[in-house]
Amino acid sequence: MKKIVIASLNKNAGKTTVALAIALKSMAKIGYMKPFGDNPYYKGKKLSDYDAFLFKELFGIENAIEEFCIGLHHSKIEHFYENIKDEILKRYESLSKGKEMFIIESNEYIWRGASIKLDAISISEILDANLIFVLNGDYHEIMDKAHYISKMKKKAGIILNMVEKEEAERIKENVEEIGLDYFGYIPYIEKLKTIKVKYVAEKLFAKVIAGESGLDRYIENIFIAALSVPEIKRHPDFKKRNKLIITGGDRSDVIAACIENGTSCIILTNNIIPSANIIAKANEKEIPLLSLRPDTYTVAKLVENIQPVILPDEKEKIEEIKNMERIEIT
Amino acid sequence: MCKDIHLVHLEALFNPRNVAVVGASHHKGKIGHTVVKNIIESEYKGKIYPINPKGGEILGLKVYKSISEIDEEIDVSIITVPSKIVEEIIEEIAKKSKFIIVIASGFSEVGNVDGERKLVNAAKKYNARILGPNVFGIYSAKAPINATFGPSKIKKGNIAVVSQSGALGIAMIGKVAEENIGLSSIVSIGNKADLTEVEILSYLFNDSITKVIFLYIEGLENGREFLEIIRKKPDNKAIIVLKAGRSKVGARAVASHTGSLAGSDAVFGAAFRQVGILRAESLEDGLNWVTSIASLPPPKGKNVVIVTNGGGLGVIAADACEKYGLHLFDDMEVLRKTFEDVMPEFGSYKNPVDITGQAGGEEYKKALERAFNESNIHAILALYCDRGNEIEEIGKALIEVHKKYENKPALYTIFGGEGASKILQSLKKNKIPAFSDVEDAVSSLYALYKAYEKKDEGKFEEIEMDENGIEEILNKAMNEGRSRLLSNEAKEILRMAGLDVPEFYLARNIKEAIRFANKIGYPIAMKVVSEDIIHKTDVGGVVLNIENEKEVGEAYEAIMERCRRRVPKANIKGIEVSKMLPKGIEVIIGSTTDASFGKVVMFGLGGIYVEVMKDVSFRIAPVPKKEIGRMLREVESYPILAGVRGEKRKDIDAVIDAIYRIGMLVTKFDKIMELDINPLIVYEKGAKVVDARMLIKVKK
Repeated sequence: MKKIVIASLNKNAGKTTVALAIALKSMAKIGYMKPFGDNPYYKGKKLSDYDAFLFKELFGIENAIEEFCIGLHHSKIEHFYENIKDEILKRYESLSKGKEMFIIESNEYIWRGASIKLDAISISEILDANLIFVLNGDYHEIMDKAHYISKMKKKAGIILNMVEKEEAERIKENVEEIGLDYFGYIPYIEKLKTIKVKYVAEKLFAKVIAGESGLDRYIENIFIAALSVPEIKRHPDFKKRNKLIITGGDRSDVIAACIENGTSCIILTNNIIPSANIIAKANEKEIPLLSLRPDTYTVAKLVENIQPVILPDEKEKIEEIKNMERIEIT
Repeated sequence: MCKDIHLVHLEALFNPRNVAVVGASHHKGKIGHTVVKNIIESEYKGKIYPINPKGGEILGLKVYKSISEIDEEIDVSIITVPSKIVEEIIEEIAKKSKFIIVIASGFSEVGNVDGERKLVNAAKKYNARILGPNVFGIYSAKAPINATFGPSKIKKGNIAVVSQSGALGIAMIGKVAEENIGLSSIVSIGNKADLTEVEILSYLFNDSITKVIFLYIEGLENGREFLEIIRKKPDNKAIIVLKAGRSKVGARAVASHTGSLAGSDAVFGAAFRQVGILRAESLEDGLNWVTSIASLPPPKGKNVVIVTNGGGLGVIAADACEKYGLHLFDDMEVLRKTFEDVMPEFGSYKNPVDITGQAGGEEYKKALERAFNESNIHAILALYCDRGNEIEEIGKALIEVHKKYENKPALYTIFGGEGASKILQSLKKNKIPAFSDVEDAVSSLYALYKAYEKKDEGKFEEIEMDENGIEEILNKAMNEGRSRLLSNEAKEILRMAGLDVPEFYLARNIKEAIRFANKIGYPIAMKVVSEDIIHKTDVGGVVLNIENEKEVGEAYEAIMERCRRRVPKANIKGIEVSKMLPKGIEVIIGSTTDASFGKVVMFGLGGIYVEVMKDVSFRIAPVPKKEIGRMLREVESYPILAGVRGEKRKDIDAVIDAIYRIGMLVTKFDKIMELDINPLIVYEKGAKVVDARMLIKVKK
């Protein structure tokens, strides 16, 4: 059975996208594990990782969600598992039963988990799995990373993410010269930048006070409505589609004006709930109103920090990855 | 402050032996001229000293070039010159005067705080007191003296008006004159740089001429002193307060108007209710109430009877009585005996007593006489629907019967066209409270009842609290420069103050969390502890209903991860492990520090009731338990606590005790600036603190 550890040197390199691309391309039965999680998925008092949730749901893996991930925090892992190596092997055994290809996604940083043998290199050694790094950035940044990896003196391959064909070909030649295996690339996919409203609501622990039926809308743009209504309407960013709007909960005029086509959701700040007619209008137009306690500036920062993920029901994102990936795992 | 001292001390202000008008003008129409003219025309018996460097004579009075030319002490000096000159001459005036009235504006209300301070300091130096600046003067019927630049003719009566707004005060003089009502005094307090409403009220409470006081304020800097004075109000005096700055816009207008800081209106309303102040919502209401109280005797009982010639008007009045909580007399036997034989055909002696549309002056007279004479009836609302004829006869009958009986209050509503206006005018001319709207008459009767109601807030009782322990926690946080206490510290303080705080521990690692959870017993709750995270649930810092060791581990990890990601810079001290409490009614108890009144306590039901409906009540701390009971009943959602839809009544006494202890705690420990118990879970027996926040004053 092919075993691959997907790793990266930095966060947000696109490990999940690559892992998904490999899994989708392969016709094999997929097994998956993210031993050291980094995006807590905590439901029903069971802790796992959003990426584990994606693979479990998408590939119909029957194992319990908490099995995919040993933990997210050192202290818990150390407390509950005396021998982490044994735990990795035990889980692998259970998760790989009947599978033909097994993907192990590592943590957001290459070094994270090293002290408890949960970093990418340790896991690849424990499971005797191929190590593939996902590299992103401009040409020079990618080459820096590739040289750094080659210095690890480990057999490793690379897959590029968010690069164009010509650039990928240029990099391919150069990385092969320094002894790394090149497995392909994924071009820039605009759709992967988008986030569903429900994910934003979950990550921000927001109260959904209206428009619940619109939680599956996508967000592509963010607009802070801190102007008067006529100025907002004139603003070029307001004309963009699929907007998340942030405004004060007491700005009834602004909220009312923003409940229209092109708005994906409105975040109301300062924990102020608008009047019943505004809530009714949002319900009617199916535009979620999310209420948060912090001020507009803080909320804007929080929203900015949310990294897009791929949820199991985001069929368009998954289709695009399937269509656009240019990966050949030999 | 002792009221008797004020009485003696302020006597010279309200009944001066002599007055000086600094800036007295030779020119008609100037403030300096009008003040001298008004003093003369008010038949003031004392000596008047007009002062103007030009000398000469004004209105037949010798003008002094300087106050130093006068060789006796002046009781009241009224300064009519502009603010810049006031600042130059204040010392000279203060040397000679007991009281100085500074009419000029241009001080703190426009940001000239230093100028105002200069006035007060100069006055203090020579033991003089200042009224104003930014005032229109003073009228006192006792002297009599009209040292204002307002209307010259002021009718003597028993209403005292104390106003922070000059223009409003002047308008009030005209308004009461139109209503044919007299004044005992009218004092404009303006910027309240020195003398405030507190001292003025304490004088008026002891003033034999004054029966009712109308106070207009925009803000209070000394809220607690104000409440103390109100608590000392004699039973035979009434006070109506109109407090502006209710809305946010209004509050801003206030701040720029007289330089006074308008406190939070909810706190003002609560403070007024706490000491039983009757608060008028509008000028119209205030005036109606004041004039009714001034001209009517207090009711001797609760029974109100409505006498009407129109069924519709009677029903409207009955509805209004219900709205204002007035008791409509319903003893059918007494009503039958009282009204049966003066009842026209098709009339009804049931209250409202309907003497039908046929009733003329004679019928009204007979019915009202019966009402006045029946001892079980304590207040009368007489309503008349204008039928377009017998106007004079009706007016005459109402006046005659009202004047004959002065043993109980009667208020009149005359509704209709030109005829109704004529009757109204003739009633008002005879100082009879008459209104064109039923609601005004009913609300005035309500005010009459409330004005003399003796407010009993209840008594304080001693409670035990571990004061040293509390002090220690507070000092530790202060020494560390932390203004926000950790939730475990806040809960510890509450436990020391005698509240029921279930067992809890601070776990610094997963091992400890599991050990504590096993010690407490499952299910447990886990919450992040960090001074940088106030609203723990907003960052995923709370996990409830944890049932075993494995779940403790997962919860610990989830909380840590979520908090670290959401608030990366937070200094996380650990995770609080506490017993998961069974379901009950969640309430919120809080305390804050108000700019006008200091420590206040708050109560509300948890969740949407507080967050969405803002259904909360306040009181000024500390609060006796009896008053806390009223505070609880003030929230609309109170029935949920008292037991609705088959739910058993919750332990309200436990909530009262918790609020009582919080009031005592924040009073004893002044450095606690804000406090929240959210929630306090109330059961059929007992109430337990689940979570708490506390903010303290830290010296920078």
